[in-house]
This record gives sequence, C-alpha cells and structure tokens, in this order.
Amino acid sequence: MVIAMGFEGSANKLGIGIIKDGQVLANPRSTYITPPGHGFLPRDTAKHHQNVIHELIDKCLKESGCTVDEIDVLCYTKGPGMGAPLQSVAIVVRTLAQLWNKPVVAVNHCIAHIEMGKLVTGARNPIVLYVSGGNTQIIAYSAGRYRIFGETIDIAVGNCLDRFARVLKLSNDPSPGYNIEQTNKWQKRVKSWPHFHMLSKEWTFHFQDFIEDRTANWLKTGEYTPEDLCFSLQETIFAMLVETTERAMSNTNSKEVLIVGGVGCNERLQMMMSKMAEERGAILYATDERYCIDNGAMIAQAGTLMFQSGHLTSISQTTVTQRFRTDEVDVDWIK
Amino acid sequence: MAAELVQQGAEARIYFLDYVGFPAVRKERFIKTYRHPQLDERLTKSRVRAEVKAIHCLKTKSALLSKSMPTILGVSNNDIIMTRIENASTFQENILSEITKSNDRVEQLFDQVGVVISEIHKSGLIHGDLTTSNFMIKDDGTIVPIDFGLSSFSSSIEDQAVDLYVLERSLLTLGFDTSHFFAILLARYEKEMGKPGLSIIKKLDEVRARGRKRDMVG
Repeated sequence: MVIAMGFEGSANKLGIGIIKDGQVLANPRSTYITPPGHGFLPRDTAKHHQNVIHELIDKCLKESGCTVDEIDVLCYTKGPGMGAPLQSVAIVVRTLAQLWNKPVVAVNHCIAHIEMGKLVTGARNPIVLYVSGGNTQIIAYSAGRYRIFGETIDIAVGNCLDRFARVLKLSNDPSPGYNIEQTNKWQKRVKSWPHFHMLSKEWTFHFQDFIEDRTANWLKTGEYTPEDLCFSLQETIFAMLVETTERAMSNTNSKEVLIVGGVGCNERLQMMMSKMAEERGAILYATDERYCIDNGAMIAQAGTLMFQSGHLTSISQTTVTQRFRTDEVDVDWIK
Repeated sequence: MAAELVQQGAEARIYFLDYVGFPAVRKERFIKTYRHPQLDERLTKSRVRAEVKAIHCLKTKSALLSKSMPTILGVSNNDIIMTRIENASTFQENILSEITKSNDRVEQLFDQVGVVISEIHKSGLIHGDLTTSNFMIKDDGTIVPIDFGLSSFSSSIEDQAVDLYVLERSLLTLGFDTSHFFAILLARYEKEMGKPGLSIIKKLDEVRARGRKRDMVG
C-alpha cells in the first residue's frame, strides 16, 4: 500500500493531491486567472503558486484525513511546462522532503495525464489523445515507452483556442476554452462558414499562425460574429483531432481511445470522439474537469507507479525542465 | 455494375467492380457523422478533388509513374471510379513479410519508394499522407502511390520535408527499428531530387526537432 502526495504547477494551475492505492483522498486546486485579453506570464504565475501553496498543502492534508507520517512518497512535476512555476513548486517539494524525511519521485506531466486517465476510466491499452494548452499529441504504448504517433508541429490546440479567446476578449474564468464552448452554445445557426486553412495530415497537424490578424479583420468588417467564429473554429479543429485519432486507431487496430488534458473536458470534442469510436466498434474513455485539467492527484498516481517500480529521485536530481518529451521516460510499470 | 465491397478504411469504402470489361475500383468517401454536415461535405469534396488532380498530375508529369497510375473513369462529389491496381499488396504488407526473410529485399523496397517519392515531389506535388499503407507494390515490382486525398500542389522544401516526416512517423507503428531502412530511402530520395535534395534533408532535421524543441506551454 502506497500513499503518495502529488504536486502539479507546470502552468496556471497549482494542484496538490493525495492518492492511496488508486483512490483519490484529496485533490484541491487553485487556478491563476488573468483578465480577458491576457494570457498568463511565467513570473506572475509563479507568484500565484508561491502565494497559495502553503494554504493548499494544509487543505489537501486536512481533506485527505492523512497525517504527514502516513505519506510514503512526494511526487512533483519535473516538466514540461513553464520554468518559473515549475521551479517554485519543486523548491517546496524539495524542502518538504527534507523536513518530513520522505523520498521524492520526479514525474513527467504528460505521462501523469495518461496514467490518471487510465486509472479513472479503466482503459487498458488505449490510443491516447492528449490535448491541452501546451500539448497536442496522439500517443500509444509500444515496447516500453509511450510513443508519440502524431502531434501538432506548430502550436498546441489549447494554445490556439486560448489565443483565439484573447482576440475575442472572452473571459479566462474558468478557462478560455470553456468560454468558447459556451459562446458557441448560444448561437442557433451558422450563417456562414469561415474557411480556416488548416491542413490535416496523417500524423501531424498544422495550425497556421494567422488567427490573430485574420480574426480581427473578420470581426471589424462584420463578416462574421464572434459566435460564428467560435463555433467554426471549434468544429474544424475537433474534426481534425478526431480524424487523426481515427487514423491512428485504424493503423494500430486499437479498440480503445482515451482523451486526456484540459481541452479533453470539452463536451463537443467528447461527443464527436464517441461517435467516431461507436462507428468503429471502439470505446471512448474520457474524464471530466476534475481530472482532465491539471491536478495534483495525477502526479501522485504516476508517481505511485514509478515509486513501486523503483524510480526514485535523489534531492540533487530534483530539478525541473521546460522540455520533457513523453517518449523519454522508461515505462517499466506496464508489463 | 455489380460492385463488391473489399475494404472499409477510416474514411472510404473500396468496391471492386467491372467497368465495361475493365477491372475497376470505386472509392467512396462516406459521411463522417461526427463532423458538422457542412464541414463534412466541404472536406469530402475537397479530398475527392485533390485525389483526381494528383492522379492526373502524375499521369502527365512523371515519366516513371504515368503508366502505373490508375486511369480515372468517373467522379462525383463523394466517389471516384478508376482502373484497378491488380496483383498488388501494400508496402507495409511487403515489409512485414520480407523482414523475416531477408534485409536485402526490404532495403531494395525502401530504396525504390525513395525514388517514387522523389517523382511525386518533382511533379510539384505533396502527398500529404505518406504511410506504408499508401504505396501498392505490384508483383512485377512496380510501386504505385495511392490515397491522394490530402495532397496539394507545392514545391516548397518545407512541405516536402514534412511529407517525409509524416512517413518517418508512420514507420513507428511497425513496432521495430526502421531507421536503417529509412536512411536508405532518404539517401536515394536525396540523390533523385538533385540540387534541392540536400536542403530538403536538412529541413527534415529541422522539422524533426520542432516537436522536441518546442516549449510545451500555453
């Protein structure tokens, strides 16, 4: 039996979670929300994490009903993510490990998403669509690694949606993507269909970096309303994601698909993916905002698996890295 | 015309039929219900169109491929009827069956596929979906590229490099190390491309690095 405490702070969410044998005991989270039209900057995000982390640790321990003594291992996000926020959390974990005398496991953020998705949904060997603010990857386990079969070659889908929301000055509360989803729920009918030039390739998808200027122009001329644009952008991007995922499933003969990452809690994306899966005789596994969005429990879960198969990180190695590929980690806990 | 369904892929059904005495195939792109109907219609139409244009392009511009590319017999908004590529199996099937016997034959296949890709690119075409399933290898050794639904016209080295990158990624699904074979393909491709060959290979290195070097933050 392992009780693991996980710390996540790679982007604008600070999450701390405690997991005991696959059971989530506590998983509080604090999100740094910026005003409409603004993204989150590393320095301010780090400041947010530093300001709330002590309070959040207390909250997590209290909710879980665990004492510090009962915790077996501390797990933290090594990367990928923003340097300053990652660093802030790592320093706290390093200090706690020495104060409480606990071992530490450094976790890859992407792998934590996958492992948490598998834990919550019961998926066994799925094709994974990992779609968030910083990452858009199609992943499957093969020969000891989580291999990246496809990814966007310029920006991530979540980043694309975030930038778009910024142009439209949509609220960042709770997240830009959520408000794009809500905005296009208001509209009854698409009057016209803006043509987003996006190429969908078999294994890579490509977003051209035109969103800012072109959107601004459309709005200025009144050619399209914000509702039209939200709807069209979302439909187009999600259709590409589902199509590319389907190709990966068809190529690997997979009957399971798992969506993880912040964009993964979008209900329209889940609906489209589930239709595709149904037509292929496959099953869709998806989670809600508790686990799709960055959280501490996912770090604890991946950390537990790593801890059990002997991955420990010495204090001198408890560093962070902004770039940390999903396929760099030896996944020796899958037999 | 009696048609027999022979394959259902992710986006199209392939039927075999007899077209006034010629063995033919009908490739029907079916409706993807997960897509908004308007978007689905537009994508399907553009893919049928891209496929027709690409086949026509290779038939007229590539000396090597003109004979082996199928002849288009009929087109609608969502399907194409064309002559059948007979006595053939996919590149992937060939790799998987030959790899257990001899490396020489696999090396030869990769080398020849390198030639075919260079022919596509020299014709000003980007395939857009190069995978080991998208080359048919006939019993006489002729290689025929198929599935041009995502193709586009471009001669930019960026697009050509991404085309190669897509193929390299798709090799991952074979489940064994193919880097040695892919290197043979690239060497032959570079040679066949002539002057721009080296810059395309350099660009490919850059494309490969993009995923790894990109900051993974919103």
